[in-house]
Amino acid sequence: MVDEPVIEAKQVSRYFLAAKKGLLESIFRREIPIVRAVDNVDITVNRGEVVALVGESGCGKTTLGRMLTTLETPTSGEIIFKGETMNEHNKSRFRGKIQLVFQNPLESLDPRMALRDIVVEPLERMNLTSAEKTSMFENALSYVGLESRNFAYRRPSDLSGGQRQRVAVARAIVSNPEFVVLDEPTSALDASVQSQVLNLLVKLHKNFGFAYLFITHNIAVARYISDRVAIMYAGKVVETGPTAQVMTHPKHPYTQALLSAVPTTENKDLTPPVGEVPSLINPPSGCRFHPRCPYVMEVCKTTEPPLRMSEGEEVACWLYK
Amino acid sequence: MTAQSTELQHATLQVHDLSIVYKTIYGELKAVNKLNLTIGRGESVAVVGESGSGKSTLGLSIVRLLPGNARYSEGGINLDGQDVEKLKDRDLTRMRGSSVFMIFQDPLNALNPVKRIKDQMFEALKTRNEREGGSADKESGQRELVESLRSVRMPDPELILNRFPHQLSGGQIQRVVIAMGLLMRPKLLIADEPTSALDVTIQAQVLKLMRDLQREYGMSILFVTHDISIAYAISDRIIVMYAGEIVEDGSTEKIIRKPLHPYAQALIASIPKKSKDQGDLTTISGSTPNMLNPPSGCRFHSRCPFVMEKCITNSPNFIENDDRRVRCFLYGG
Amino acid sequence: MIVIFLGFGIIEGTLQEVGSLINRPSLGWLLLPSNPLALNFAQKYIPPCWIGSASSCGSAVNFLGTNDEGQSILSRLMYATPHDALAAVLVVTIAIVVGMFVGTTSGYFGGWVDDILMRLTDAFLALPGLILAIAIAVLLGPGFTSALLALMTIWWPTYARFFKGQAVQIKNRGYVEAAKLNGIRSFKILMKHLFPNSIDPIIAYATLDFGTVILTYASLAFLGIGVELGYPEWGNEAAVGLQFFPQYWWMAIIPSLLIMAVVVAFTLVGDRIQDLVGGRVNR
Repeated sequence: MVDEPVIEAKQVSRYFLAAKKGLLESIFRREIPIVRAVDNVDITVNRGEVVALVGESGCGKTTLGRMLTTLETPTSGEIIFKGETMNEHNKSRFRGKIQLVFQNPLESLDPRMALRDIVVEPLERMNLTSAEKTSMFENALSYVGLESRNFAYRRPSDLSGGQRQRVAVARAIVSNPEFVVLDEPTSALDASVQSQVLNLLVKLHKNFGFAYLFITHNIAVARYISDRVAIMYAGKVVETGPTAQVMTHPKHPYTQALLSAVPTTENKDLTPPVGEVPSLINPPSGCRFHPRCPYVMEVCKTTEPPLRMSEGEEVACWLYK
Repeated sequence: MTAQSTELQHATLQVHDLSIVYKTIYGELKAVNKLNLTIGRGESVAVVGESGSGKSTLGLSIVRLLPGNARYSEGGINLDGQDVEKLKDRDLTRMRGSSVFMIFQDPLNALNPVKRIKDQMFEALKTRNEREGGSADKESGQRELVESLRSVRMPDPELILNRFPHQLSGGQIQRVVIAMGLLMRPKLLIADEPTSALDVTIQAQVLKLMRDLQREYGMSILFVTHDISIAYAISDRIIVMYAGEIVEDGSTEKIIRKPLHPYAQALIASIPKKSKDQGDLTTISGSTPNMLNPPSGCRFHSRCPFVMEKCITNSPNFIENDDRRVRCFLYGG
Repeated sequence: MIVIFLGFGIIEGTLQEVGSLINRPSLGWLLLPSNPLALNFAQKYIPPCWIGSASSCGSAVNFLGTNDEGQSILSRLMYATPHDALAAVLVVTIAIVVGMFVGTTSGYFGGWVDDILMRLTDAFLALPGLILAIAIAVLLGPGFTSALLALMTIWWPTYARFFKGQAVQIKNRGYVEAAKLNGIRSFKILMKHLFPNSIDPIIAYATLDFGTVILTYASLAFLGIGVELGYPEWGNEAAVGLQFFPQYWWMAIIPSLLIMAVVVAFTLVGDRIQDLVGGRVNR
């Protein structure tokens, strides 16, 4: 695997206003609280790599994923695709090269459209004839393991959850993308169907070599499918590194807590961390994990640790030099 | 606290040949089929199955919270010495407060949104006091509420008591619900996927809490889930359900380490343990059966890698094997 | 009943139009029991056939009685049907189309587009509908078209509100974002994804609305607004008939009953469809 970045986020942040700024607020100059959904994050996905973005709800992983697809614009920082910075003006150049697979199979396909039309929608801008589009559709379906003869003019409501996700994946690959963001693609599926879809994703990755960013809260799935993993907490990336390494020897105290809280069939006793995930409007000062960290030191309370290299990984923690 | 050592007189829950049928516009659907189950005092049992297995129906049937189109077509449920089906409304309400308490999947709808936490918890307290004949003045009641919130590891209990449900997170609400349950001191706690809406770390907190409470108060637990890893963490005994029937029932350790029934084996095998470089994930071919028209013979036969001739026509009975029961011709019958 | 109403309205309306075009107005009453416009003083003030003795109404032609000019009320009401049918269909359709464009665009784009369009919609909604319709119709002068225009103007804002609500929900759905991601232009997204998916809940409501339009139109006609000279609008007939109340009560009552019956028919059908389809509109 060549270490050539397909997409990079540099010091990317995304802040939201917690409420709409109406007339009253402007007149009285009330401060509207800001939600720091993603705060100064760096992340890279290399060519042909599968990176898992792991974290719990509210950590900002979905927002970060969406920024990488240009569906949302960063409040600050830049996103660079194959050496080119993406912004409002050149967004259209990247259409078709970056794709997204959504979590909810019910909502990601237009219930009023025929499956064929759904899958070839990404090819809109490519002036193909109807016959050409149909053959692209058939190809894509065969790659995701569905019988195209029966399905071309069916509707999403005729399919099961697993089949709909396959169609969503077919739509994502039909434009031959270089980078695909998958936002919890299997979380809404039954366990046995999950395995089928994961196998499919691995197979496609082997065949086509796209780069994936796989967003999930499920550690086992992340461990199975990814080459590298990035752990997010409260809007920040706290640890990234090769999957095997991070999973067996987690460095960041949050990663350690997260891994030991996951129920596995190896260990009956769960040791959860104390406390709750912090508010993103008023995050704790310094390191955001410090109120819950068993190794907290004075410096953690005042200064945010930067993401730094340490033994082949990047960690944001004052425990590591 | 091993599985089969409970004597029937001391059993908290006894389900005998239970069948539950739903009436739908497409016909009759037998969600639970002649099910037999015993839970002893202080025992934690996990019921594991996928959607359509009947596990939720089982839980709801014990507290008689089934929807209107369901009926108890066969068998009976004996909870803490009482026949659940025959209970009159007043006794049913009392049973729900004292013998059994249920926690549901969705924390958002579990509490009354227009009442403060402390008012709702006081209700629980009052119910228990009425039942046990005690009475509580506001002060000692308040103290007891704070104590119960502390026992569910809730930080700042006094603050929480004054809040409304929408001001709490999902994990906090589930803990409040558990605390309310504890105030009632039920003999059996039924939990239907209580952690699937929660984050992993909160889930771990809630699971650990339930285990601690089980040990401390000798409470029995019936934990319904689709995730066998969670079942491992929470239970002493596991029951695997498929298409409305129990297919395997035994101690947690044994079932996880050496599952006997092919479906149980498939469930355990499909947990992604390794990395993709080590090969594909095991999947179960086919899909969950249509309960309006369940398969003939052994209900798992069309998806079973070890299917034999007789599996298609005959339905296996339970075989006692290695300190548990399995419903599979591979082990006899 | 509705099918008959609409069908007849269309046929009759066509006949009238064609008739007036080729200068043969008698085409318009071809299908009617009698000429609704001819003066026939011999037959005036005949009560409906079920009153009094069997032979008092003369012939079946005057089944619903006659008016002060001897014209069969049945014929006159039938003659006026196309206007009501057309009003119902046209006003609701235009309201949906305009409302869909305004509402969906507003909901999808948000920002200043939303603000402007919604303020516009709110402005119309704030004014009492009937009054506004009267004002517009009077401004535009007498005639069927001005009544129609007035109604269309007050009708679309409710639909705009509804479509905006739909758009706000739909724009966050996966398939819309997927389309955005693939560079589909906004207009196309609106046409392909938003419009078709917004329509469903509105069908039941629209059917109900046909009845309301007819009622409002009849109210206008009752007040004499938007009526053409000599044309026997249902509402107008009722108004005129009031002058002869209570002696020749049928002149006022019969048209009113007809209006009521048609409105109720639409309401019932709309309700039924709503039960089947399950739509919901915030009014």
